[in-house]
Amino acid sequence: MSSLFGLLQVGYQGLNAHRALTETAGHNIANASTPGYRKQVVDLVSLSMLPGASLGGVRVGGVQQLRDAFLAREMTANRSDLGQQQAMREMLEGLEPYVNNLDGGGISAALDAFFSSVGRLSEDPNSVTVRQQMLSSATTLGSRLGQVAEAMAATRRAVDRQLTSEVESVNEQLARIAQLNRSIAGQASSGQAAAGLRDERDALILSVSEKIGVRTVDESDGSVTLMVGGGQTLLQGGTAGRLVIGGGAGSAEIRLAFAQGGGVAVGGSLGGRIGGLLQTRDGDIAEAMAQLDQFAFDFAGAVNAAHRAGSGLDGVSGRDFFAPIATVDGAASRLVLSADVLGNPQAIAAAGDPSGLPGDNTVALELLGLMDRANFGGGSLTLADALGGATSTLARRLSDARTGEEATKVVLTQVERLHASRTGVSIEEELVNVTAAQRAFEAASKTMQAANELIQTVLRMV
Amino acid sequence: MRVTEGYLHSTMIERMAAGKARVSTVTNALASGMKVQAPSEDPVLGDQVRRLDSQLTRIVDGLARVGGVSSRLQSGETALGEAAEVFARAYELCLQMDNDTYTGAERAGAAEELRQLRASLLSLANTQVSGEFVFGGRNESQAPFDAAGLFVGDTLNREVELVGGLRLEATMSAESAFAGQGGGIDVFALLDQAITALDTDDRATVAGLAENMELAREQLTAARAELGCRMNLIQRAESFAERLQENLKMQRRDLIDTDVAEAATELSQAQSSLQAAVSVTSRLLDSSVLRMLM
Repeated sequence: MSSLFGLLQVGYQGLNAHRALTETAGHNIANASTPGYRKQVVDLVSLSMLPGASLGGVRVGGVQQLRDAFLAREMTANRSDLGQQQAMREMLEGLEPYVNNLDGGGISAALDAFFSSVGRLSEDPNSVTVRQQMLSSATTLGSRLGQVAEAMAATRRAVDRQLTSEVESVNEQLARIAQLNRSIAGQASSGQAAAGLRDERDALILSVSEKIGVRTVDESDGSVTLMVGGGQTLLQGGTAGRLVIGGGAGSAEIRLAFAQGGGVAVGGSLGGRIGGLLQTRDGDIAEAMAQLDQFAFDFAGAVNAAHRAGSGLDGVSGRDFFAPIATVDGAASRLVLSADVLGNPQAIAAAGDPSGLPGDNTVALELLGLMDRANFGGGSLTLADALGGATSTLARRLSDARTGEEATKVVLTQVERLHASRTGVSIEEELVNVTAAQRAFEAASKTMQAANELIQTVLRMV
Repeated sequence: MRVTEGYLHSTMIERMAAGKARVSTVTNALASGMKVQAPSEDPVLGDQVRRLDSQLTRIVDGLARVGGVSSRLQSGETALGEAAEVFARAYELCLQMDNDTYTGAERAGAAEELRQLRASLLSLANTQVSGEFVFGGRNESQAPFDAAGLFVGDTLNREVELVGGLRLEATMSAESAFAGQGGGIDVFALLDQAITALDTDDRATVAGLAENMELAREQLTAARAELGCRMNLIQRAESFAERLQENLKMQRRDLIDTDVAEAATELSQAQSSLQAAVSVTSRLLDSSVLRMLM
């Protein structure tokens, strides 16, 4: 049964509800530029809808966050892809100046310069100046190869350092997400939305996904489970796994542990910056390095074989031009002149037969002919193409990483924009909401004022 | 679609960033004169340019060798031409002295002229270019003929690679041209014979040597003609290399050089787009509902 005091109560409820609307709109406006913030919406419940209610009124049913689970998952996946491509691009970009042939100063130009000096030797095998020039160009080529090899090794060391830092950062963030999972589940059980905590957790998940690809599963208690690689659980409820870098330096793999110890290797594609760093270190750079080593090994071997068959100006034959390289691994760092020719241009063998000295140039021509022999780099490449292969591998991978990054950025921007459109704050919308709530607040005040006057009228009748 | 603050900011930032990136790319292309600055911007083009540069280096090296070989052969050709002239004069002298009207003293005078011609011939046979003996085969550091006119040089020649894999002999061994190796005439011995015959007033021998003088002239002329053929081959190779070089340079320019007119137009468009993006952003930020409410 309704009463005049009930009318006052209705007015009071209206004041409360619209104050809550105004507060929420204010909160939304205040966080309009907060990264990861999702708009909050007040659920108003009409009391007349409730069974047994006679007078009606309104109450605040709760505060909800706008959410789009599909777009959130897409953002996580794309962040992971972007992190992977970005890490690869950043690492490979640092190497590009060492292999850039467009400005005429790359290692291919150093190889051309070596063969130019061999050509001059073939024309004038008796000239000490020409011989010195050949020693100098060979030293330059070896030094350029060494520089590139060292730059690659330095990049791999930088990758190792970054991996350590990324893994530490992921582990810290996982611990915080587990903590937030516990808090959110606790608050959810007591009927609280914990919107702020969810926003913080979502932002942390996005940040983790940038470092390593994760898939999220929403649990009924409000917590989120994170899975990594081929489906291994990285975090569940309040328990976070820990990433550890296992194995020796340079071949370290990423392992997942839940207790103290080495854990198990993360299978499948890792994704994120960690995945990108590993791919750069163990894939792209390792491949280019192997090509460069193979080139240096083949080149030194071929030059030495031809050189040993010839005679220096002193009539001595059987000498190496480059110091012999025993293994392919690390060959690019070991292309140096042999002790026989170092500082001794007379020892360069241009002649095939000592009787033809000093004018015989048959070995010089043989060395020059190496330029056109297509049996390097696995059997079908010229020396220039074998060397170019190593440099163009890096260029191609960098180009792929850039293209991939650009494409992922476009998709991610679209997804983020769509997500912002669906869950973000529109100031205009909030201002309209504030104005509407303000008017409704004023109207509720009037209701209370009218109820008060009615009550006073009745009291005056007594 | 709800246009939220996040949506608006993301759109504005993306458009301005894209505009700035475009301006930066075109500016780099204009400033450097190259369409791409690094191979990763276009790996296929980078590889093509590397190959072209390598080919161009080989051609430049080849042309430099062509220059060296041409200069050497040219000197040889000139020397052989002059040597042939020596024997033209020697032939004339032999014919002239085969006449009763000349006395022994006059034949001795002719012998003296032949001695001078022989000295001149020795000098021609030991012609040098940049300190290197032209007719010594592979041995350029030693005079190929000694004072007695004996060949002491190298009988083999040195090949060099010019352009496009073409190899040819860059040196000349004068053993056959001057020393008559292989059934020819030893030109110094012939002159020595003639000088002796004239000194001893042996008219009959002088008469018999006249024909050999002509044969020696022909031998030297034939050697000169052989050099001429080689020069011709070198000139064709040089001409081919120069055309190829131009062609490759043009290919390189087409591949990598910035088309300034096109880039300038693109820069203008990029700057206009960026300006438009900035203006639109400014207008969007300005058109808030707050202004209507306040």
